Amino acid sequence: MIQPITIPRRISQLAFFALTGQWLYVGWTRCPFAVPFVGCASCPLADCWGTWIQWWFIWVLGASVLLVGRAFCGWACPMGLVEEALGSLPRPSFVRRLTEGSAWKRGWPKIDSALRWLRYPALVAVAAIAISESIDVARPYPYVVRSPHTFSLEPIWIALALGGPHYAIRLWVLAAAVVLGLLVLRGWCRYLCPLGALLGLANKISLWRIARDPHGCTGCGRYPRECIQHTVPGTTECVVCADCVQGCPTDSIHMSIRRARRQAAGPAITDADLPETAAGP
Amino acid sequence: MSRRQIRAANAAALAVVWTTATVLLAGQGLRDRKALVVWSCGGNYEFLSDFVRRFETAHGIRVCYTAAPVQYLLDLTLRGPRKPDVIVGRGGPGWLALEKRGLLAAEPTFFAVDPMVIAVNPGCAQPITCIEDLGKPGVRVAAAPAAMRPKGKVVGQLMASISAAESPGLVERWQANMVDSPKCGRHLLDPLRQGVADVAVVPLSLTPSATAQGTVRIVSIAPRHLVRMKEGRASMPQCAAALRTSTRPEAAARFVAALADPRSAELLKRAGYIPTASPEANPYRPMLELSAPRDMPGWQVRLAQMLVEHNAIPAAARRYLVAVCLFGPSIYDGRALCELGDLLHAQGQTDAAHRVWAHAAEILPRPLPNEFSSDALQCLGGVPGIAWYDDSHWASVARDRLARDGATGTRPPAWRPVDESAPPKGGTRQMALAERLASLGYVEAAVKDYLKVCTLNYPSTEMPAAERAIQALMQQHGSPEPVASSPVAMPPWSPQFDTHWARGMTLAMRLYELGFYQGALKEFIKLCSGEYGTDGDQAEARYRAGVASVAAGWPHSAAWQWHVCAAVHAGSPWSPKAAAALRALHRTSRLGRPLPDQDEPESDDALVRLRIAQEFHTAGLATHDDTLLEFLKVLTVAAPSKKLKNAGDITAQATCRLGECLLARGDDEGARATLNDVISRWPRSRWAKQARAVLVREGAR
Repeated sequence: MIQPITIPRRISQLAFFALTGQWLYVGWTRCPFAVPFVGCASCPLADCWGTWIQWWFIWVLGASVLLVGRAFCGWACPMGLVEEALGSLPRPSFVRRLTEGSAWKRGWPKIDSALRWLRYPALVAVAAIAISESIDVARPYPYVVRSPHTFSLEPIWIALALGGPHYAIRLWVLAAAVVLGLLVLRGWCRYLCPLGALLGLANKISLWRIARDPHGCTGCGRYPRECIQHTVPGTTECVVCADCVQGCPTDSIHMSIRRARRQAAGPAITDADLPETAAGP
Repeated sequence: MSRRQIRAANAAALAVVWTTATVLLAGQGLRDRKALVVWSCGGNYEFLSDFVRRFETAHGIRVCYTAAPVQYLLDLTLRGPRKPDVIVGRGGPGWLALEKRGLLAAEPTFFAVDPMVIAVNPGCAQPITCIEDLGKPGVRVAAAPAAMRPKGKVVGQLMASISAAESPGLVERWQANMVDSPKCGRHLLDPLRQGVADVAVVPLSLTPSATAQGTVRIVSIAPRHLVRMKEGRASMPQCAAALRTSTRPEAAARFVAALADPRSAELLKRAGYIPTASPEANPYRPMLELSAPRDMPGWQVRLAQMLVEHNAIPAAARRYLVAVCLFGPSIYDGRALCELGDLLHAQGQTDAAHRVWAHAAEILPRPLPNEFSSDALQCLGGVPGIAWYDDSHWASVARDRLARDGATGTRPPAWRPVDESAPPKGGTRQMALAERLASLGYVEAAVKDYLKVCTLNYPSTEMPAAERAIQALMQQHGSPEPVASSPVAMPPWSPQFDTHWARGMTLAMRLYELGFYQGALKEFIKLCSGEYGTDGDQAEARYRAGVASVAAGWPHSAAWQWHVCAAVHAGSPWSPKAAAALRALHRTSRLGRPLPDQDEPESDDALVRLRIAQEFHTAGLATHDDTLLEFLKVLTVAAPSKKLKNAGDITAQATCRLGECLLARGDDEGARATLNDVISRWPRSRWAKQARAVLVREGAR
């Protein structure tokens, strides 16, 4: 169920979408590096906004990570918004039939838990490629394709026709992310996003966190059932959307400062607390 | 806020995403469907983005403009089903390929020049007024790697060209002064702004914003330096052409015409170009033509093949390595290495052959597609008789050869890689060549190339390593004389004393001192033929050529050299010495009369080569590999330019003399075929007459 806090979150997401959407699009479709968004400061692709916004973006991201963990994913990431927009579309009937079957419902939590680990190999692979291909080679951008018309398909076609395999691979990954987003809410963020994997670790060290009052919590399972990430608050999957803070029927979930945890908030909920039947796609 | 309102606001926010995506993508798609498709070189991006906006407003024609490296775009146009309406970019071989394929609706229009200039940090302590100042000690240079074609490789080619023509050693000094090398050519001015470097050679189009901010100062490079370049010159003129396949030919023609229109001049100037419509472009007019440099690595391989055919094995082996080390990397590297392996194998040097094949299998295929393997170059025809195969083919050939011999475990030699960024024929490349020759057992050739590093490429940073290698080689192979502990000193750099002649003379003298008399003779003959310019005493070179001939055991050649020295340079102090030496030889009666212009320098490279070959021939060294090599060079790597009035005559003469050489070497069949070729191709020339005479004489014999 949508909570009032979703509205400021959407406003924040739309603002960041306007600011970084072009970067996301160009980075995914035409970035000359094997891994997009990492070498923007030295990239000659003058029509990509990443050239100018990458540095302050890194600072904002770093600060947000230290303060509120993976909140970037829930409040600012343009891909997160796209995934949520995809998730808002009615699902195809065959998907509905499949996911509403009782056998599927019983098996899904295990599949879901296993798929979430895919983020870490993705993170390792991306880091390895970024270091070996994008950062320390003499000729990192053999094919720079520019266009004053960001959304023209011509430069994408030229990049595909001229460039190395990374253009094609990225478009396939993009297609997979879109399909995944249609099937599973925030499927990309949950299973494949390497940045999400990295930022998720910050949930364990951030100053602010979402915590649960163990005395008040009845374990009703509403969160993760209604969570956009289908997780429980405070885990590495939590994107700090704060729906649960407003939506908890017993008002037992709230934002707190980490150092006050032992005195007031009680232990944070962990993955082990996740009820097996609660998380659906 | 009620639940319903929250739901509605959320739906509206998500609808914004969908609407934005749909409007942007579908709107752009609709716009592109009707647009004039323009592809351009990436370097033009800023200018053309502005120009396209203006053009759209002025002509009401929508333009879908995309920029990428022009060589790839030309390649894509040649091979792909999808073609633009207009293509804009730096000149280069791709344009000739488009013309050859009949894809251009009209000849390309040259609309601007983007000359190389020197960008100077205003805080530079040294006065920088000309390109030669970049070689001064203490000047900190920034340069981009060769992967950046106009901003990197062309700069190296420019410096090498100036070094070869006017300022020997400039390219080496420039390299030695290099302190920073930004990966991207677009960032070449950053080290100047940051005070890390003092100067950088950059295209003028890179400088407008920096000069406006006062962070760099511009010093022009004399246009003669740019016009003289053989390679890389095509990167400076900017041209545009409509394609025959365009669905909007009228709009395409208007676009091209608008680029060259004087009304675009202000926009071009703002972007740093010199519009061709302005008088400032006049000194650069000779550059405004489509040109493609000779396919030198391909011709070097062809020359090596011809040397193999005529059994000049060491010369052929060196030539294959020249193709790789001095002219690589190229599409011919694989062929050169595999054929070199075959040659060594046929000579019984199986271990060396295995190492060459292992090296080929190790370095090939190279990871990225390169423009030297482009369809555009292939379309221009390449070198006759040499089919194109990509790196993968040659890698598999090398592996097959190793497998055939059961030598798949051969460790590839630890040869230094050929650095693409190294300027052509520079010390680094020469060093790579010498290292390979030494490793394969060609000691004399290796020593000569190491000596070239220390003399012709002075003051290369590789000089100490080269000197050490010479010492080691001489000791390993039993030097007849003890090796000099200190090498012959080069004069300290000064434009007055550091000349090509001085370098050539030093090379010849050092070869002589090390006991390589044939090599020394060749260098002396090169000095007499104008290969090293005309700044020295040719009489001295002639006299010393005679001395080297005697030492090599060729008295007839010695007599000829001294005879020429005494007759042509009568006023020189070397003349009486030569006359005295000649008398001691008792050979005067058998010598012809030298021509009065015997030692006049030649203007064209082909003529210099022909002169060197003729000198060998006249000196009675027709059977020598160098004679064969030099005549073959006139027919391949140094073929006379088509602009030369007597190009046909030069080729006919070289072919005829080649036939005579082959005859002297005992290759009767090859000689007959070559001489008959002269008779059939130039039937009315004096060389055909001579060829007939030789054939009749040989038939009678």
